[in-house]
Amino acid sequence: MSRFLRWFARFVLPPLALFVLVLIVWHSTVAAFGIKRYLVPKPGDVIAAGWSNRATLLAAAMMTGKAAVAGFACSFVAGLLTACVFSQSRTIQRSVYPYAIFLQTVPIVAVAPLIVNWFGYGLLSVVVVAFVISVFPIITNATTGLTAIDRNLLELFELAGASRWQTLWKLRLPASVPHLATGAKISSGLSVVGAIVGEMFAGSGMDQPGLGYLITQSSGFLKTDYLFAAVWTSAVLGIVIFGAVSIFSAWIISRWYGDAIAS
Amino acid sequence: MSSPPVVVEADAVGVTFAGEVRALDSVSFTIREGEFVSLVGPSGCGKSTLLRLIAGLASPTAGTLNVTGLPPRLARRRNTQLSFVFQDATLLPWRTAADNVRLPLELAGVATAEQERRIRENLQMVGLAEAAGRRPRELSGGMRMRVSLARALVTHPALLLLDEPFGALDDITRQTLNEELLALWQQHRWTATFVTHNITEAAFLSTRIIVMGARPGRIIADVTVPFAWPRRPELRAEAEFARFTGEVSELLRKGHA
Repeated sequence: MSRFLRWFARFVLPPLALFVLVLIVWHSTVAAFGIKRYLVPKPGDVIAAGWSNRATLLAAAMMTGKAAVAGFACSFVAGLLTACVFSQSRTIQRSVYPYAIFLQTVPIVAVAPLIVNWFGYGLLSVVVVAFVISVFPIITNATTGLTAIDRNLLELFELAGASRWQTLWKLRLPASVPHLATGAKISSGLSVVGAIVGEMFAGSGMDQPGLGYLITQSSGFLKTDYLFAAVWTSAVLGIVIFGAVSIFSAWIISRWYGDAIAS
Repeated sequence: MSSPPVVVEADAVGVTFAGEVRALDSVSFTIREGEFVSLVGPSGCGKSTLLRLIAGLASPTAGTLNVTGLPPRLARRRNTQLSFVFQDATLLPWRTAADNVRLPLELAGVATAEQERRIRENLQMVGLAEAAGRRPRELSGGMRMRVSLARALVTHPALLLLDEPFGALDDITRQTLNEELLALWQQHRWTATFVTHNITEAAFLSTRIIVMGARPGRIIADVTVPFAWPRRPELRAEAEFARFTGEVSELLRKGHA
């Protein structure tokens, strides 16, 4: 119990205190200068708007979360497979890599309309946007993990007469677990961003509006307190997904090396 | 009495890196079955390079080097079971000691029951039966090297290559492992090539010592170690032993000048 309290005091209390402080400064500033509610609502207004729309926000968060997780899962599988191919041929890696970078550098809002054009208004387009934005970190981290192998270990496998497949399966893949965990953490955070951006373009076609769609709508109607509530919900959703992936990777890595948690 | 068959034969072997540095120059020697040959020399004499040539991990740029009459890579694939022990234990950190020892058997497709039997036998042989379930992280440097040794021996190698395997260990651990390796070799008599810069270690373990010099890497002397078998750890304290290692040191120094 005392360990939990110490952990709480060190890692939870400081950001929580800062949060409360920011809320106080925010509230007094808005009150002191008489800022209009549609420009900056008071924290209390945001909480009230969030509370009265809690069912819609929760459903939207679930919807966005579903799209983000689906996009992230596609990224993980596709990114890992791409990296496996890269690890087998330098030539393929050198030929394809520039286009993988293209995925990373082209602004997602520029390609989102195109994606909607191809995949229509609805969940599919949202998942594709989330995928496009989150696949690159998996490709780069997995490629590093699969290729930066200790030379002696590779020679050990060569001397033992291991096939390419055995070397990939029994050496490269297991050795890249820490890199994959890093890539997954980055990618999971990006997939939430991608899902929200996707919903801003294609969200109107979904069975259930997601957070991105709520944000665009409430902005259009100048319901700024509601807009803030939706943004907060997005932040919480991002933290939850990122946190879940982080905890899972830390657990996997610690199991992998049979020791206490590796950072 | 006919002499045992030749396992390694080097004939005027040379290695030149990047067209400039001569790592090895005109090296010739023969290693016969059942010999324990140490390659001793200062750093930069190409002793590790020579070991890599025998393993087929590198190729000579001049001369020929054969293992059982074939180019090393071919010999390895055809008929010569070869094991290499690296300077680092080179274990897979995600595998337990037992599963690290299992690796070469697994890669060769040995049946599971046979794998288990041999793993148990070899871990026992290096005194690690109790540590079978532990990961490399939970083992000391000496224990890790023992696992590495067990992994090399589990395939019953016809040729065992050791590249300064005890170089990173403290002196006490090194001596203990020397004694263990000696005991194992006296039982099994694999053909072995052992790279080291430690003369005591070489004299204690080997049947023969090849003394090498640097720049360019070459053979200075090929000395038969005069001590009788079986050897006991106390050998290292005898005057005769000190005299012999002194002679080898002298050879090394001359080659260095």
